[in-house]
Amino acid sequence: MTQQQSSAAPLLFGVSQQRVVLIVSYIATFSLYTLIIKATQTKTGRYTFNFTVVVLLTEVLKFFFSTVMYWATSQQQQQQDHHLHKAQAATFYLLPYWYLYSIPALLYFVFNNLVFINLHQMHYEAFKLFGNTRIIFSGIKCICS
Amino acid sequence: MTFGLGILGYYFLNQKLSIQQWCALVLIFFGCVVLDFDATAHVTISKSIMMLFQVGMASIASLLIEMLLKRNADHDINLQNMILYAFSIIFNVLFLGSEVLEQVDDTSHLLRDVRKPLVHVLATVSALCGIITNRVLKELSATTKAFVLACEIICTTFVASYVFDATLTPLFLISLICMLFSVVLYSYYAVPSTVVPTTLITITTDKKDAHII
Repeated sequence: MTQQQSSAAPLLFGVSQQRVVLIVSYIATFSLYTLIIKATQTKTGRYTFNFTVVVLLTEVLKFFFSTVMYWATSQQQQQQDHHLHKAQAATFYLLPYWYLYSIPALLYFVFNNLVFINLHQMHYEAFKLFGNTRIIFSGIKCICS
Repeated sequence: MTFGLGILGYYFLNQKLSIQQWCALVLIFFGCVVLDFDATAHVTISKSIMMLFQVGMASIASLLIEMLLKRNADHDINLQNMILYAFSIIFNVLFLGSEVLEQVDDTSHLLRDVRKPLVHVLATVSALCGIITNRVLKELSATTKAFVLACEIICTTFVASYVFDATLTPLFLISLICMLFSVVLYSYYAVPSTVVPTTLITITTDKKDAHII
């Protein structure tokens, strides 16, 4: 049990206020994302923008966020150990198999674009329900691992 | 769709899964079959294959990422995310470049799209989805996660039916209930190392709690 958990006051069924906010944000953002996509479609089901631009901007945002996080972590560690700075700077070059990250990146690129294509082709409710078939793949993963 | 799931089911028959996980898979199978029969949902074989392909892509990607994260466990997770996102940016830019070259779209249209507030909103919400899911996976117990996933399905379906004025048929509701129970069962009894894959890969400072979402 973390300190954070014990300090937060229980609000609903023993769930802290902080967690209620987290749960509501999770449900809201996930529902909102696909709802906005569907709502942006015209009567013919087309988009008024190139959806790859949205995917690209999302990736840029995430890249920016992870860069800030990396910088913040580096600064923290640097304060702890002044000599660590050089080691941190060299990490990128020392990261083994960095090129292998291109494979999942390619798959996610296809996936993120397919969300828009499938939402264009399918009813929203059916799309959301079909999204749960990930359990099948998760099951295969469990079995194989 | 049903045939495809049947083949997957055959593979499952030769493997060991917990009773609860079996129930979850049977339920999701049944849910898909029911949805296939619902004429109002307009689910065709080609659309089903596309959906399975989409979900499969994310699942394989999350598996690969998990392998890479384990292999590079000594390295900063944010650095690994940076490399992954950099590759994603490159692929998207290349794709947009190919569209311009093939005259599917032109540069002025693309630049205009970049400036659209709606595009910014979508990109921000999408990025937020990743960050929030990371916190959910990290902080909530299996029971709460199952509850949250169920809530997400119910809320989205009913909000969507209200917003888009769609009629929820009995067949659709049966399919919804099946999938709902399936998600709850599977999330509740999931193996701890299993991560439910979705669209994004999130950022976390704790290497042990690195999640792919």
